[in-house]
Amino acid sequence: MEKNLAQTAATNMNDNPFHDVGSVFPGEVSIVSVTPQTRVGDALKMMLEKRFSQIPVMENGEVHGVFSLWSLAQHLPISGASKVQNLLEDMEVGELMEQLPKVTVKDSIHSILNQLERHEALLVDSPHGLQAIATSSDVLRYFYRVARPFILLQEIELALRNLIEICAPGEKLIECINRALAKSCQARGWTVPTDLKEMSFEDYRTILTCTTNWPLFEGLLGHNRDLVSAKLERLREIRNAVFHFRTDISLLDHQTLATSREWLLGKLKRTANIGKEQSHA
Amino acid sequence: MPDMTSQPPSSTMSLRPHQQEFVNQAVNSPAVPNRFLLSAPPGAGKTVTLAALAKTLKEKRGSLRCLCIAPAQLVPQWQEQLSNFGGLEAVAMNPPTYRRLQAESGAGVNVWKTVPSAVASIDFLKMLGRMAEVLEAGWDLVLLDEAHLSTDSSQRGDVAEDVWDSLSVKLAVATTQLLNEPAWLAHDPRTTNVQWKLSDLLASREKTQRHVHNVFYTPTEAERQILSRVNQLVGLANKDSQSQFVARLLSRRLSSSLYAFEQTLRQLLTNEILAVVDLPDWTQDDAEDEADDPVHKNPLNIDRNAGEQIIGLLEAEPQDSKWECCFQLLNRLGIGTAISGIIFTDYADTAEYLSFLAKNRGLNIVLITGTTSYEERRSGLDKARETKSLLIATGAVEGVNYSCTNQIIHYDIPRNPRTLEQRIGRVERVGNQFHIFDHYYILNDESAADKVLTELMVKMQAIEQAWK
Repeated sequence: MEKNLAQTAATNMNDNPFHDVGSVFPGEVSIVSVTPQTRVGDALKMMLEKRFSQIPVMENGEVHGVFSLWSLAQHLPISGASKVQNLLEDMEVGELMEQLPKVTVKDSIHSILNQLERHEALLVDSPHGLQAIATSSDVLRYFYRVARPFILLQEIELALRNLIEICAPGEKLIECINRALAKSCQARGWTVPTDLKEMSFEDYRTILTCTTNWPLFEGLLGHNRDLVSAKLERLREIRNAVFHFRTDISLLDHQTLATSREWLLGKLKRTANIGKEQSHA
Repeated sequence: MPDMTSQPPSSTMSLRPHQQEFVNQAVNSPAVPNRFLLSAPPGAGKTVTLAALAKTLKEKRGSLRCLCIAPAQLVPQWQEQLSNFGGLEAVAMNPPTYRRLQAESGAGVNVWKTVPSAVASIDFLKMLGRMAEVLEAGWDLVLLDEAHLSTDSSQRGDVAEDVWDSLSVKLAVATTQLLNEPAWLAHDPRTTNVQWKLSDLLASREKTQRHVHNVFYTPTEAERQILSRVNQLVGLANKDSQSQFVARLLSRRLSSSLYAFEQTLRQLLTNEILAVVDLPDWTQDDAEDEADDPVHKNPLNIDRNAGEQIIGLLEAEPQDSKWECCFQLLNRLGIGTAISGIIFTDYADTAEYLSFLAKNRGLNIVLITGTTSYEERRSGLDKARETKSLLIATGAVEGVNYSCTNQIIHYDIPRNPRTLEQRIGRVERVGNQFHIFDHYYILNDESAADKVLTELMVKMQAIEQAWK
C-alpha cells in the first residue's frame, strides 16, 4: 500500500500517535467576530447568515467573551417577551456575553470531550490570539473522518460474507472453501476453516475469485472476473493500510471504499429482490 | 526534479554540466538581492539542481535558511528532496503545523523564525497578510517552484512578487516549465533569465531517435454498446458547466480503462456519501488531472437508471479488449520478463487495475502513482533497474526518472500536450543510456483516436521546438 505523500506534511510537526485539538482543523480557519458594541440584532443576523450558534466578541485581537444563542436565551426571561424588540435594537452583545473555556491545539481530544458536554463550544487559543472555535460538530466530523474507513470496511467485509453465503449455500460453501483454500492451508499445516466468520478478507477474496468457484458468483458479480478481482485486490490493500495504521489513505481510496460499499449494497439488494420474487412465485 | 535512478546519494552527488553551471552562477553572482528565473523542460533535473544549490550555499556559509514555495501536492516531495539532496531539515508548513508552532511560541514571536527551513504551498502563503510575516523572518534562499502558475494578476502572482521585492531574501530562484513564463517575472529587470535547452540535456546523445507505433485494438460488441450508451448519456447532458464536466469525465475515463470508468460512474452514483465527508483537499491524487474539479463536493445529477444500465452492460462483458491487446504487445516485446518497459496512464485507477492484471499474468510490476512515497518510488525504481520489470505510472507524477527503459506504452492519450511532454521527459531524459525510444499508443480502431493523437503530436512538437 502506498504511503500518502501528503501525510508527511500533515504529521511533520506532530509526529505522534495521539489525537489533539489541532487535528480537528486540517485546513485554514477564518474567524468571524463581532465587537462588544455590536447590536444584538446585527450579531444575530450575522449568525443566522453563517449558521453559527455562537460568535466571539473581540476587540483589538483580544477575546472578551462569546455571544451565543445560549447567552441570549439566558437573558430573555429577564428582559420579558415584550422587550425583545428593544433587546435586539438597543442592547449590545457586550452585555450578553458568556465565557467559554479556552483550550490549545496541543490539548488532547479526550480532554475536551467533557468540556464540550457542558459548553456548546471551546475557544482554541494561543499566545498569538484566537485560532479557532471548537464545537461538538467539529469534533464529530473529525471522528467520522477518522472512523469512516473502518466503518466502510466493516460493511464491505460483512457484505462479502453475506454474498458468499447467498451464492454458495450449505454444502456448496464447504466445496467452495475447499477449492479455494485447502491447498494453501495444507501447505501451511493449517486446518481448513469451515465457518466464514473465522476467515479473513483475503480468504473471502480467494473464495470469490477462484477460477473453479467463479461460475457460482459471476451471475451476481458480473462476468468479468478480472474486473471483480482487481476491485477486491484494491480493497485488500486499502484494508491492510487502514487496519495496520500504516498511513492516512488518499481521497482516491476513500472514494474506492464508498463506491465498493454501494456496489455490494446493490448486489445484496438484488439478491433480496430475487428472493422475494421467488417466494411470491 | 531529482534524477533518482542515476543520481548517487547527496554526499557524492554529481551534477550534469548545465546543472553545475547554474549552481556556480547562482552562488557566485555578486548581485544583491539576487533573482533567477530558471526555464527548463520537464525531466531536466531542476529540483536536484536547486537542492544542490542549497547544499552548496549551506556548506559555504555554515548554515542556510531556505524557504521553498511549491504547489501543494509537491510540498512533501520538496521536503524530502531538500533533506536527501540538500541536507536541509525543512518543516512542511501547513495550517495545523503553523497553529501548533503558534501555540508553542510566545506572543509576538514570528513562528517562521523558529524553523530553520520551511516548505509551504503557495496557496497557504497567499492568505492575506501572511507574506509580510514570512518575509520578515529573513531567508538566505527562496525557491519558487512552478512559477508559471503565478500569473501577474493572481494571488499566487502576488506571493511571487512579494518574494521578488523583498530585501530580506538574499537569493531567490523561480522555476518554470513554460519558456519565459510568467512574462512579468521573466521581464523584470532584476531577473537573470537562465534557460536550459533540449540540446543541453541531449548533448551526449545527439542521435536520439523516437519511433511512434500505433497499436490498434478492436472493441467487442458489448464494449461498443457501452461506448454508444455513454455517448448517449454525454450527448444528453445539460449544457451547464457541471454537467459538461461530468460528461467529459465519463468519456475520458472510458477511453482510459473499463475499471477507471466503472469506478467513476459508481462514484457519481454514490456522491451523497462523499459529500458529507470533510476530506482535506491535499489528499487528492496529483496524478488525477481532474483533481481540481471538486466532484466530491458537488453531488451531481446523472440519470441513475441510465448509469445502472451501463454498469449492467459492463458486468455482462467478460473481456477487456484493450488490456488484452496491451498484454499481447507486452508479451511480444518481452516487457516485464525479458526487458523493462513502462506503461503511462493519466489515471491512478487505471494504473492500479493494470498493475493487478499484469501481476496476475506473471509480470514483474512496479507501480508509481501520485500517492507513492519517495522511499517507495526509489525502491521501486531500484527493483526496475535490477529486474526486468513493467513500470506502471501515472503521467503527472513529477520528480521521477524512468531512464531504465526505452519502451514506452501510452495506455491512454493525454488531452494536454504538456502531459505528453511530461511523460516523455520522464523517460527520454538526462542519464538514459538508450538512444532509440519506442512509443506505443494503444488505440481503439473504431474511434478517431489516431487523429486526436496526430493533433496532439503536432502540438507537442511545437512545444519541443521552443526548447531547442
